[in-house]
Amino acid sequence: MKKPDDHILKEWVAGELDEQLLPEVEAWLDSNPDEAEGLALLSQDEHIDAAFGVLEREVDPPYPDFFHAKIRQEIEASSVSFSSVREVKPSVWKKLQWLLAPATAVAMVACFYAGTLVNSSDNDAKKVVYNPTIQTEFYIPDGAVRAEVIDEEDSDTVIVILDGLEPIPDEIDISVVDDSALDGIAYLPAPRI
Amino acid sequence: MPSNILRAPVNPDSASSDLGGASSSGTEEANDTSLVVAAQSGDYTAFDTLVTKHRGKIYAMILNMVKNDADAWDLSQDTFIKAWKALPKFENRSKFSTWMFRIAHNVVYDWTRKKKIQSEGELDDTILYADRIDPNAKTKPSSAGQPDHNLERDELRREIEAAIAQLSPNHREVVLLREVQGLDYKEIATVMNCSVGTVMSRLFNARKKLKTILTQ
Repeated sequence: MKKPDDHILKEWVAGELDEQLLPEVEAWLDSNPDEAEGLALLSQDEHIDAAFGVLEREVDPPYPDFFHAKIRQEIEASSVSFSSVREVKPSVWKKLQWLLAPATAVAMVACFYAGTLVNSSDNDAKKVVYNPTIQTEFYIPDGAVRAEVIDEEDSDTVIVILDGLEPIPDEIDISVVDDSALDGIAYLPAPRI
Repeated sequence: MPSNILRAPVNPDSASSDLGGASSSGTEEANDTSLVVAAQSGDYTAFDTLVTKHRGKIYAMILNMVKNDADAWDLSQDTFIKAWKALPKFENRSKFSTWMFRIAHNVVYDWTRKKKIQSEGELDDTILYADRIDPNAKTKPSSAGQPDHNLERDELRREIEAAIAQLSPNHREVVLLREVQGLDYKEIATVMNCSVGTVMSRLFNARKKLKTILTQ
């Protein structure tokens, strides 16, 4: 490439070269590193060189251990392990991945069937719990009160009748618990069966 | 990131010795290559060693670019995280340190662009640079007293840092890569993704501007 004329180079050295001419000079500098180095020396200055000398080339980041830990944490959080980034040949598992969908469907059906079996055995257990043959004990502080337990097996309901309790006064709202109204006594709603 | 940060130079003696013989830098390069190969095969410990080796240079470079400790800390981290992600693509054609500077260049460039968009209309914090504060102002920030033997050096450092801060980002970066990090023109061209001629042109102009600023 042709050397730019002295006038252009002078303007470049002065930092006053037109931007349109700049690529031409830069291309020449590219292909003529020795001459470019000579021109670069023109900008050398002892004072500036000395000033650069006080700037640290390396400054350790504060809390270096934390710095490393955070990098590792960020890498792990973004799941960028080399197993995922690196290009790997398809493994045997990858080749068999087409089996995944039908296998999942079969597993779901099996789980559903197993669930129905467990549910059925649960129902049996409930029947045993509410079997009237099992004796249920009630503690009744008033001897005049009679307790009766009715197990409605068909409707899965157990009814407890307490006969002989004092009727609950109408002024007591049993939907709202008010200790002052109850005067320290906890009432149970009267069984209405 | 804690905001109250102390700057700790990393063993300046070893740093200056790195500038010396080609054999030591060659050995260092070979070490980097073997660590890179190990890291590429998934060895995180090897990558961690690379972080330890290069964090000082990357942090210093970014700190000089953004002039804020906390931002420099975060951006240095981003640089290493991006390096880990891009490591499978690194082919050892250039030095690992040059490649790291290239990533740092992109990280700082993106951050500057986003910051510029976000801060439009906000306070321009460059007005807070020490060199632009009236020395006679009543509210001038006071600096802690330094021992006498460090005073001159600290004064000179502040002076050159303030001067570099007044350069355009391209001129600032080229000066820091050349004069502080000691990269050659070709390496700088790789980092800044431009021709060697452009690097020389920018460097020449940056030095001229610095000279003008420092002699004012």
